[in-house]
Amino acid sequence: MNIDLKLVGFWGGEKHVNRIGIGKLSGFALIIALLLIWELLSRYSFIDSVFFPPLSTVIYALMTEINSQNIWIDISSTLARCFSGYIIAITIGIPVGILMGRSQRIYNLFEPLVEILRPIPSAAIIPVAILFLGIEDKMKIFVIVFACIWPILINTIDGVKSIDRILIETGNTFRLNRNQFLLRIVLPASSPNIVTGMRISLAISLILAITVEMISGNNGIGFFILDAERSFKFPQMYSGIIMIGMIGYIINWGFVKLTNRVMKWHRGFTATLV
Amino acid sequence: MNTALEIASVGKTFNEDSLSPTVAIGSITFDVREGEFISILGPSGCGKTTLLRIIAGLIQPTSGQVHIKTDSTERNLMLVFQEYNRSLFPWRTVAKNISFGLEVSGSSPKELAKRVDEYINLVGLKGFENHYPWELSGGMQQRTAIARALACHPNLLLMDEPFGSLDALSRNELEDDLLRLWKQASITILFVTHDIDEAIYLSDRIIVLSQRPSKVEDIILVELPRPRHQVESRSSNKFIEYRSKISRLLGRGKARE
Ligand SMILES: Nc1ncnc2c1ncn2[C@@H]1O[C@H](COP(=O)(O)OP(=O)(O)O)[C@@H](O)[C@H]1O
Ligand SMILES: [Mg+2]
Repeated sequence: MNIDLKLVGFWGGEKHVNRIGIGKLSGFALIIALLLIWELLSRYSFIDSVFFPPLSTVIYALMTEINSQNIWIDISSTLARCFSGYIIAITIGIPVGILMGRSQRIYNLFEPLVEILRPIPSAAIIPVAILFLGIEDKMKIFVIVFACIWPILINTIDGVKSIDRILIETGNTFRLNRNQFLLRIVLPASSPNIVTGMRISLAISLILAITVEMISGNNGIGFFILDAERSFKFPQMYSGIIMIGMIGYIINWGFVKLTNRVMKWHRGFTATLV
Repeated sequence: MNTALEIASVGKTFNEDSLSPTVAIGSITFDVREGEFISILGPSGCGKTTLLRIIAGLIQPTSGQVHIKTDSTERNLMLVFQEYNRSLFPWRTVAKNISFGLEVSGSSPKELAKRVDEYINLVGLKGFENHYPWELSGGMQQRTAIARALACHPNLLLMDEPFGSLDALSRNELEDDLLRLWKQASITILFVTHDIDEAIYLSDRIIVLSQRPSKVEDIILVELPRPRHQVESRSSNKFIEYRSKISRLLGRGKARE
């Protein structure tokens, strides 16, 4: 019996070590292995090295780009689009979600519309957006807003609808006015869901920013990647892809750090990076 | 003494229009005087929580009226929920939970800090100001909920089986704390419980309710001297007499059904 218990403890302990230590290391090791395979495959010409330059060449191109002025203009215009759309989506999505979650009448009014619009892949509305808004930033930001708003809206509605009845009644015993009730009870009580929606939309905003930049205009990382491909500057093309991956990683990391801080009251709310 | 609260033929039927309406409260009538400690005692499911929610204005009675007398124009009552762990704001620390009522009524920051400090001390939560509710034991959560209600300076405090889920020791401790606070703050307390001994120990009067559909079975005047003492009061002959009387009352209510 004693021996059994010890074994359980032993395996339990080992699993734990595995999860936080070796687990993470092996993940990095896999990435490094893949990068090495990339380098070798292309250097020894298993694959056409014009379309598929060695990693070292791509890294060299990446360094050159980072040291140039132009790429920073592209990065900042992509980020500007991305965040404008994202912020607008939040500004509309959270209040509308709260109203829909609180009022059955407003919910009934908007729900069919939401259910019809939401399944449309955002890329499919680009032609319509171009017709009405042109090919400049107005259209691009509109498409980003359209894509980002659904996860925020749906999660906000869910969060508001699932607030504990006791919490609502507690709020009512303090005789709050409407604004106090929404801002001090409903918003914080549904914030775990809202934050989840915001995190999904953050990734979406970057995807859509790149997509619309590839469709029209002459700046942004999306444009940079497509332009490099069209001018046969393949190392630059790959360096653009790596850059956008890094930007996505950093944005997500910042968001996770920030929300873990803001949400530290919520037991069990620790968003992880993946 | 003045009347603080009048419950006049209050009745409540849930799902009135449905095929199977639930008559939770038949008809309840009683008065509460200012500064009194009143317990409402009754079998579970007899509508005690429903009655408190009606008094607090969270739901409307099907029949009858509730009159609350206060000096000010504003109805100043607070309700401590049975589900105290679900009633605390999880996103606020202990101190921020306690200050909630003051914040929303627009107290100055100085007044607010002073009062939070006062009530933290009063309920013995010094050192836990910056803890979140989930970091506290059940008893401490209940103390926080009570402090949050008291910090609003209510003249009527409604408490729904506040110590029901606590262990005997912290329960006795909190009972004594509550009696002390009640005396200091000179408030009227309406205390719901299904524990006969607890009702006798705490109250000036006990409203004994019958089974559903409930009505007032009897009102017991508890003439035990104050301040009360957990061991002496509970072992006095009078206490035991009250207990058997109430047991018989509740037993009779059951037998009739
Ligand atoms: N919102 C509701 N809808 C329908 N029935 C309810 C509702 N709230 C309470 N009841 C019913 O009313 C009766 C009294 O409930 P309650 O006041 O919670 O009793 P107690 O607090 O005395 O245990 C119970 O039978 C309960 O099922
Ligand atoms: Mg109850």
